[in-house]
Amino acid sequence: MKRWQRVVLIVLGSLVGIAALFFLFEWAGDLLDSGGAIGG
Amino acid sequence: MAAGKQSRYLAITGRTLLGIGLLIALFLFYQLFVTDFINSRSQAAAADELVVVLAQRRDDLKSPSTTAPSNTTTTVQVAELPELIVEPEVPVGEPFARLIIDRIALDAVVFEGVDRTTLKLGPGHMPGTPLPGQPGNAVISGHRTTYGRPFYELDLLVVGDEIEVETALGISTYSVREILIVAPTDVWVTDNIDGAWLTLTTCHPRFSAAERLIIQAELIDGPNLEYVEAVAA
Repeated sequence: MKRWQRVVLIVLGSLVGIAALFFLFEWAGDLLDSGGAIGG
Repeated sequence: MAAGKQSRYLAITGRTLLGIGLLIALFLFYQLFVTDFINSRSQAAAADELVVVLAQRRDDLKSPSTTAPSNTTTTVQVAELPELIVEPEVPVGEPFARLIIDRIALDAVVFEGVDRTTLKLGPGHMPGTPLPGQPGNAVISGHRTTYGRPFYELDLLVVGDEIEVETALGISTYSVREILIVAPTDVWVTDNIDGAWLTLTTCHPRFSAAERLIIQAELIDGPNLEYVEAVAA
């Protein structure tokens, strides 16, 4: 694997990881506090 | 050999636990600080926008109804009622009011809508219920522990505490009458009530969405109070 391929892989992997963490945190956050609305 | 294998397993377990710990710490940091930061920015921007929105909405105010609701008994003389000032509907996501509760030092801009996106901006008014200051049961929901936690101390309210809502009508003052804990599916708390009421809803207990804390307050002062009292009489 060339250097630029490794860099692209790390950048893409980081972006996917951050996005996955964001959605995981949002989902788990709803368990802590869903906003308080009634009926949902 | 066995000792080497054992220490390798221990190392893997240790790293895994460290990773989980780091993830939990990141999660708590995000929920308790990052969401507050996001909310404080949106509230600051909304406070500026609200000044413009309120001025615009004051121009749009209309008063279409000055007669009592229809009654099947035709022999009853229907007295003329005080003027009811009707506020136009608000597009979802738009700021339109300010909620002030002195007891818990709350001063927040209220948005239209109770969807996830809107509630991240601040307390949200439930579409389909009357706007604050109008006859009926106006419902406002808000976060308890994240996104600026506007209703964090809502449980400190006691019967008789005052809640003010500033809309294009002016300031409507409510007095707390009831404090309830209900299930998230108990939609009856949003049902219409005779008179003019404000219902605040938030998650309960803190750091859990298992139940809802409900504050129901009755209008005691405001531009439409005379109308509400005349209808009730």
